[in-house]
Amino acid sequence: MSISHALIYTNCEQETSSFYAQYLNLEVQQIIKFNTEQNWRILKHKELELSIILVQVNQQANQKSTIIINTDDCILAYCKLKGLGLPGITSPEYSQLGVSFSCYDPAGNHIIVIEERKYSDPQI
Amino acid sequence: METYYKRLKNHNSLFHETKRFSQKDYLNEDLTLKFVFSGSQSYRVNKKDFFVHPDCFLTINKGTNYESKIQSLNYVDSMSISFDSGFIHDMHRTYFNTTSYLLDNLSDNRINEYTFPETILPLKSNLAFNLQHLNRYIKNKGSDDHLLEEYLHHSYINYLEIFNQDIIQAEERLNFLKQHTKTEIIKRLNLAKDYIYCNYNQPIELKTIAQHSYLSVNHLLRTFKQAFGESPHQFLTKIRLKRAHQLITNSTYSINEIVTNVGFECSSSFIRLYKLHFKTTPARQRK
Repeated sequence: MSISHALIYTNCEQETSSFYAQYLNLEVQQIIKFNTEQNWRILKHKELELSIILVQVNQQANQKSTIIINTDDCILAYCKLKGLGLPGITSPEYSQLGVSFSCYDPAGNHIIVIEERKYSDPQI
Repeated sequence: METYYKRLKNHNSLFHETKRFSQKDYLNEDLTLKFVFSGSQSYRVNKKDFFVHPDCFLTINKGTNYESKIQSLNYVDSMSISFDSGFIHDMHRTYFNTTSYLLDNLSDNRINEYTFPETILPLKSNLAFNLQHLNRYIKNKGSDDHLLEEYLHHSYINYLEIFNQDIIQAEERLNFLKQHTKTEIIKRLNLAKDYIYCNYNQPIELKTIAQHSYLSVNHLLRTFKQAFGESPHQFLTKIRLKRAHQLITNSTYSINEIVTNVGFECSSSFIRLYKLHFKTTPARQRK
């Protein structure tokens, strides 16, 4: 088994959808009705195995998610997104997992982009 | 033969070349880190010889005269990163001062010259990862100055991380009361390490390492273990294994040739140690 999709809650579906298209190349692939109540907007990357579902919630719900996106070069990803003008992007920081930076989407969901590094590799 | 050179707006620079033969004298204009990705390159700095291999790098300070030499049957892929004094000054200023101090003192015209030990350090951790990205950037003929600036900025942070681990923290671990004794001993222990890095493929005696580091054998053994958590012999074995691993992965030499090339006397003990370190056998690694 593997995780199929990550759910992202939003109270501004259109704005959030544009954000993911502009900065992460995630395009709307399908809009479906789930449990007859919620509108699910499935966003997919054109080339990468990366997809999320935007779930419309009301203003009071205050549900936020955190998604972690893997990259093979964090500094390159950081420079690309900074070059695109992504607001609120943090500088790359090192941790025991590797190097990462983060930002927030318009609905307040936390996005972490991480380059995982195997520091225990005997070659390193 | 290929060369790449880029000097950025902040005056940090990157130089890369692929050569089989070269010999030149230089006056180093900025603090420089010297790396090789394949083969080895020799340097003569202050009458001392250094050999840089892919598992280590050499630091050369601003204003140091040195000779660089490549003499190899195969192409040697080498890279230098130089950091401008102003950049280093700004980095240290922002790292070691509080935000309120920096806001009250927006500019600082005094540029301190920072010098670092001109010694060989292991290429490891984040610096090793970032160098792989830099190498890929050069191979892809990258032309994004902002990206290169960021890579070099991080390379300096990564260098400080290694400097802190292998020099500062090692110095702190020494059991001496006086700080200047610790500083002197770590300087001599680095001479011992440099000697091992450069003569790993020779039969090395403890007495010879001690002579090169101006320490007695007992003093060397005791302080080396205190500072680095391993004996000179364990350190030497680790270097030999890493270099054997490089040759197994990137050359067509037979395992037996590699065993003698890196200074092991017996192939069975080499295989045993290799398996212990890399969790695989040399033959399986080659496949």
